[in-house]
Amino acid sequence: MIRAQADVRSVAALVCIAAVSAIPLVGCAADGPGLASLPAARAPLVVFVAASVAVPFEELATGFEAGRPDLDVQLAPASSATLAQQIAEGAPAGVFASAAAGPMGRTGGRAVDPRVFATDDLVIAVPAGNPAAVAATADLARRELRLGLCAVGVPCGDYARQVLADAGVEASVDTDEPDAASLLAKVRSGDLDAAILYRSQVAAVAPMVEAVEVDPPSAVLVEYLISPLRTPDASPPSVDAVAFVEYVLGPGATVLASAGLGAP
Amino acid sequence: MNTGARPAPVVVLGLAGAGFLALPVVALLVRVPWSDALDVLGAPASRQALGLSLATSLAAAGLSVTFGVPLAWLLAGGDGRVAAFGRAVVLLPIVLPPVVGGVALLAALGRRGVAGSWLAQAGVVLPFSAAGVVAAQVFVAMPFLVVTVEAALRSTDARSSDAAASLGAGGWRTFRQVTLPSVAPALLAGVALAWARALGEFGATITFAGNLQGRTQTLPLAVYLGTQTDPGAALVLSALLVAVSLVVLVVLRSRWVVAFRPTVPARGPRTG
Repeated sequence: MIRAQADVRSVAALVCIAAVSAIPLVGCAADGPGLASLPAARAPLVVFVAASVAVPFEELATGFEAGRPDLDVQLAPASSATLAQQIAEGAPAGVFASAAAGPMGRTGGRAVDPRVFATDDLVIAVPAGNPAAVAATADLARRELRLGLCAVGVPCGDYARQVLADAGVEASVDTDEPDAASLLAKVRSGDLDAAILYRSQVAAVAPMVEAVEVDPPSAVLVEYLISPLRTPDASPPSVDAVAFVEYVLGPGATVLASAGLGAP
Repeated sequence: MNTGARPAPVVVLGLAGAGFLALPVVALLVRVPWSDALDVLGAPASRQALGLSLATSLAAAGLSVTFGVPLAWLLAGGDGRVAAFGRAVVLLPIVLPPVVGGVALLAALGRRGVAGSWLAQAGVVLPFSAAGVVAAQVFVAMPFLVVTVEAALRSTDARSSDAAASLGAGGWRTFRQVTLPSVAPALLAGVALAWARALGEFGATITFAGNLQGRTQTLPLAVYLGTQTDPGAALVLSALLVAVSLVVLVVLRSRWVVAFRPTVPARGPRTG
């Protein structure tokens, strides 16, 4: 009997923990009048960011928080396509940083003012030592080569197919990865011999991953866009969201440049 | 079962729980663009994903039985620390996030993995192949079969097998003719669980085997990638997965109920 009571108590405790941990989520989702009633809590700023620029954004978030001790910037990195879909479905994001213009246009009208904040180009990423001796884009047609691309519809995948089309190469693809980060991970582990990825991303993990130039050179120019987002109930973007975008476009430029990204 | 009045809180919480489980599936079915369904299901990508899902998940279920039943037998017979450790190892994939399973599989069977580098020298590379999909599915699915069958083996009446042994039946014959028939319902339930888990596998598959239409893109992967490019098609494929899963549940329901009913007084298995 005592045992049973103890069980009931521990279940009750679990329910309490679950309820308490749900509060921040509820706060996020409300993001408006409901939140104002919570005393002295500034809503965290949720930044949906393309997986390929997640690393410099960590530094940007830290820099932005430095002047705002009560503000918490939360990064949600994923494929821009996935993020756009979640934003259109009402995700509680305040800022969207996209790796292409396409996803930025599919936010259900929540991206109010998309602006280019960085540029990049594409390289062939190979594991350290380039074990498969990839020298040019034409090598990506070799059947024995383990080649990965991002999936169609994901910006890095669409860019990669443009690069291949520009070079007139029919690539022998072994996997279509859901985002740039998971593709890079498989090159880094050596399970893929090659992948088409962003130059800045490859530079960030050198020398574990090396960059082979796209040859012949591609005309593909990658433009990263950032925009503050309307709240899910279509209210104007928060002050913090607007300020974060200004920070990225202004003082953040040095962080982006040191991450290997080009200026807009 | 006794259907006497239950306390109001039980009814309210129970119904809320049922609603929470049912609502997403109903909402999914409501959103499916049924007018496009035939086009989506007829598309090569969908047919390949369905075919690959059925083939790999059935192969995974078969391999789970092949290795899982002997493993369950070993575990059921052991009581010491070794068996306890073995049980923990078997349970681990059930509680691990599947994506961790995928990373672990890469570490073990990837081209530069612990065992994978040997396999690669022998010309066998599992990542990015249909065999890799099966490997990922077996890793997450077999534990369900082992756990189910082992529980049944432990609760079988030892007297039947003792009697068979005393009549001169060898270990293998006793297992095949006495023990196995008595755990058949649990085995069937275990196979169904393992198969269903394999069919729904996503995280370990995309991490370990990658995603390529016609080679490694199973239905769950097609659904996930579809949400980015063609949400309507993703909904149709989701409905297809729901339908396939429901069919399995309905077909196995009677057996399922038997498997989990409190043990019926054991009657000696008929021989001859």
